[in-house]
Amino acid sequence: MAGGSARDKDAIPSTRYPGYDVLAKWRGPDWDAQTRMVVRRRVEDVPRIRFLTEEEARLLEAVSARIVPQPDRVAQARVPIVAWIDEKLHHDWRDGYRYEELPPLRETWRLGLSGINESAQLLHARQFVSLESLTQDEVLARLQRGDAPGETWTRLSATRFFRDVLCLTVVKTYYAHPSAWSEIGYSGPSSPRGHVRNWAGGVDPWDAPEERE
Amino acid sequence: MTERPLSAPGIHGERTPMRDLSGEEVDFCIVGAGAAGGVLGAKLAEKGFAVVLLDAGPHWDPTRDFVSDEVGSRQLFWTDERISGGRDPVELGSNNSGRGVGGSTVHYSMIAMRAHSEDFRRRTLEGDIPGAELRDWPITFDDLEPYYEEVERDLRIAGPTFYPWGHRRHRYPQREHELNASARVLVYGCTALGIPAAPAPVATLSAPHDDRPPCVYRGFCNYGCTTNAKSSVLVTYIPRAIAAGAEVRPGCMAAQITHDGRGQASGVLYFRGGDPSTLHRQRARNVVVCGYAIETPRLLLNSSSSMFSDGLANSSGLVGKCFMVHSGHQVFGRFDERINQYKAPPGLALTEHFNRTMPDANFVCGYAIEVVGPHPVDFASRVTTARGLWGTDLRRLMMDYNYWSGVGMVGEVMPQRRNEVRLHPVERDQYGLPVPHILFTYHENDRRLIAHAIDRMEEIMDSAGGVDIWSADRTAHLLGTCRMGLTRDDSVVDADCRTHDVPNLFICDGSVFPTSTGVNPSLTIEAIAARTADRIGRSSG
Amino acid sequence: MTSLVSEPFLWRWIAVATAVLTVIVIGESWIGHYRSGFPLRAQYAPLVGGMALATACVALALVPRVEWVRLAVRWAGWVAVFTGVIGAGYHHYYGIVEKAGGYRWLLHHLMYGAPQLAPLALSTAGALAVLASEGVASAAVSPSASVPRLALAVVAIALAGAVAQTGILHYRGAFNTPFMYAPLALPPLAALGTGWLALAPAVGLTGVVRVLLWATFLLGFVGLGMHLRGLDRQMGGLHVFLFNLLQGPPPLAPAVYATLAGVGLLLLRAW
Repeated sequence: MAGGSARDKDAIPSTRYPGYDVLAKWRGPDWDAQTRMVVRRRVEDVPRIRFLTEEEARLLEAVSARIVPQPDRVAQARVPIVAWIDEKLHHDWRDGYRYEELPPLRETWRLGLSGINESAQLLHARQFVSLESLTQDEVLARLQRGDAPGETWTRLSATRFFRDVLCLTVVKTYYAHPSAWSEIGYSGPSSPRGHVRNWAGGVDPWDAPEERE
Repeated sequence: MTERPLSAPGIHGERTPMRDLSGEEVDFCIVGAGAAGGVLGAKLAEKGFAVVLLDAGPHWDPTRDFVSDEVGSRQLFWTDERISGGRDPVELGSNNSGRGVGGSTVHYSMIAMRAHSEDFRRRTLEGDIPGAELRDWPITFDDLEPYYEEVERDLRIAGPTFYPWGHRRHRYPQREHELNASARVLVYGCTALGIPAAPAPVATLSAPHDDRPPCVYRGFCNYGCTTNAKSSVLVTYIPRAIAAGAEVRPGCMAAQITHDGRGQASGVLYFRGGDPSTLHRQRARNVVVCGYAIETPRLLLNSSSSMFSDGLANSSGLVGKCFMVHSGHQVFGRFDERINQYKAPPGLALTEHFNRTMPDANFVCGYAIEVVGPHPVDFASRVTTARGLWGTDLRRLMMDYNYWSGVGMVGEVMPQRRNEVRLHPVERDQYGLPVPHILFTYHENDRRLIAHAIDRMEEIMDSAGGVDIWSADRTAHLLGTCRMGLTRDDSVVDADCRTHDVPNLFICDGSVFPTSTGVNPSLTIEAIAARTADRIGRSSG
Repeated sequence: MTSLVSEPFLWRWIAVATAVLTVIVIGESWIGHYRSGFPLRAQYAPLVGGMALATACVALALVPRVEWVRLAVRWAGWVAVFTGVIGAGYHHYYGIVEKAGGYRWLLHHLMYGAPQLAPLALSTAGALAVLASEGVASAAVSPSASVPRLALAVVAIALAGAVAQTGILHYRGAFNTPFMYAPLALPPLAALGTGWLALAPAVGLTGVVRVLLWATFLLGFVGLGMHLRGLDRQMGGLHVFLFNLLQGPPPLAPAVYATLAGVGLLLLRAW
């Protein structure tokens, strides 16, 4: 299940901007109506799983928790990843291109997820979801290096899948969320009000104030 | 067909009335209302011609349709399926592939640079490069210069008073913008190395003009400008076109260019509103294809018939061939002051010091180095794909997001016949049209140029005080697939962008570039379109 | 040679005009320094010094005969003169020398860095205050020709400086409204005329210079209106007030022309 060991919790550095919440500017001149509409959906209307099977969803949940671990958040505060990937696959929203060695998007994901389980089985005789976090990391690292065992990877490039589909999509989903914006001190939406102090060290009154240790 | 009043969105959310030309045989049917199509549409309509612009995407209303959100801006890009192959497959679907009225000028970084006079004579200057098909352009810098001026004036380019490169000084209509932190990083680095740098000439207002306010430095330039400071074709040439009586028809996916028994183009067949069951027809005395370097050859190849079995205007066999991009590798470094690289337009400073064939280099041609300013999703994407970071390492690096700054190159790429846009033999899109298959592999010259550029960019970041410096592969722009030239066996269009094979068929966009140049192409594309409008307006009708 | 009579009544009004000028300087200085985020404590100096000067000038206008008030104005005036000069040094260093590219990017920094001549507006106010403290007193004793002529010279130089500063900023604005040429066309003539009169008083010229100064005085008010309009032309207009205040045309600056011309006119009435 998603989570991570106690070691992970210490490994995630604390944010430089603990008092900052980009959503606090919701009603101000930085957020216009159309941006609020789009981000409200992302924060509040998390869709249910419609494309992935229950097992695939659980597997992707576990994988996402390794790609972007969130042990520093309680379960309800975690940025949802699987729901948004599932929505994309449910609507078959593609990226405007795919590398020629990859099958179409939905097939790529199905194959890739089953391939991860296949490698887990071949390496550790267990399902991916029931492995220890560090062991899960090992399996994924093999995918990244291209030496993960499994017949799936003869049909689907492991490195391509890992880097340009799996990691890229999970990471993009995470950093599209306001919780991630607040954590990295991103000023967020800005319309109609823009930015004034655009020089090095410049922090606008509505930007994330830094709290130095 | 009954007359019903048409209207188009104005730039302030109002509706402006527009002619309905669907039932008529128009003088010009332009496919693609982007950088070139918009300029052509405006100028031809102002010359009194009946003009229809078809565009596959929507006609944006800047007050409603642009969101200050990366992922929420997906609709600005061409997200129909394309297959990308070759040894260096090109990433598509975002910065190089726009969709909608205004085309890529809606989401581009607005850098407005002129090509150099040398760029038009690469073959003469560099000779034959084995494996590459360098060509001289059939036009010279002098031919294009008055049109550069015209477009710079129309777009109110905000540029420096003294621009150090190019052999002729010229004045920009507005002053450069104030450097933001990431631009200052480039300037600090270049100054420390003794490399000249300059504010970038950009197509966004630094002072109010007519009813458009100046830039407020939102930094969401790549996701649509809600301020209307950005001088995209959407808010400049398109309103001019409509005011002069052109019709801009959005949601129209061109399927085929029709021709008559004499081999003259007669119109365009298109799908409308996403409905794949009905083909509509726009009859036209002339057809101009401005779909950019993937959709333009795709349309021409899809228009094959018994008379033109290899696709329209393809007697040379070059339609789709010699596909080029610019190498666009980026280098990032971390600083100990907050940079907030997402504030203000991403590319406010640059250096063209290396944009020439350098005497001690092991490659020909050159590149520009410009500032970049990715927002979090874009930056995190680079971090994971280029550095291979994931897990806690990724989150740790991203915590310092505000302290990172980057520069990127625009590098000349060799035209090679093996790089092409062709029709996929098997896959079809939602309309049943063959999906484009793009093949790209760098030439040895390109690789050496990239290596040189990455070294220089790393030096610049290092001299500016950056640490933990790393680079990310990237490309920019799409060019070359219907090149212009003097003879019909070696090119697709002539110096006036008229196809050699079909006298009333024109191609005007980045496809016509015989060589890529080492600068961002938008201004050159717009200047070529402005010139083409004058040339064909004089001789056709 | 015409003898110059220095009427204390007019010097009290000049003290008022100087106070107004000082308030403008405080206002614009606050906007500019706030925009920069007050990274240096020295940036509070013009605010503190300006407030002291303005207060002293108002006091001088109300009770010109009180000796310590005149002394206070003289002190506050000299402090303001030096604060302005030192401020100009700060503006030069932090606005140009220290910036990316330094002198090689001179034009860029002149347009966007700390305005090079603006601190000297405080020096101008200080100089006028010192002269006012003299002028108010000396009339009671004997007419002195040098004080009003010095004041005229200060007005002429300050007008010239204002024109130079306006020039660079209107150039940055690409003269997007034709009226932006006006402060570069008219006030220089007023500055020239006023300077001439300061060096070589001539009755015939006085009439012309009076007209030029009146026109400059009115220009200041039109400029205020234009800058307000310019603020409204920014995205979001006056609804995004703080942002546009920091980013748009300086709202109080045109009034500098009005106050300087006003002082000039007051001095000429004393002719």
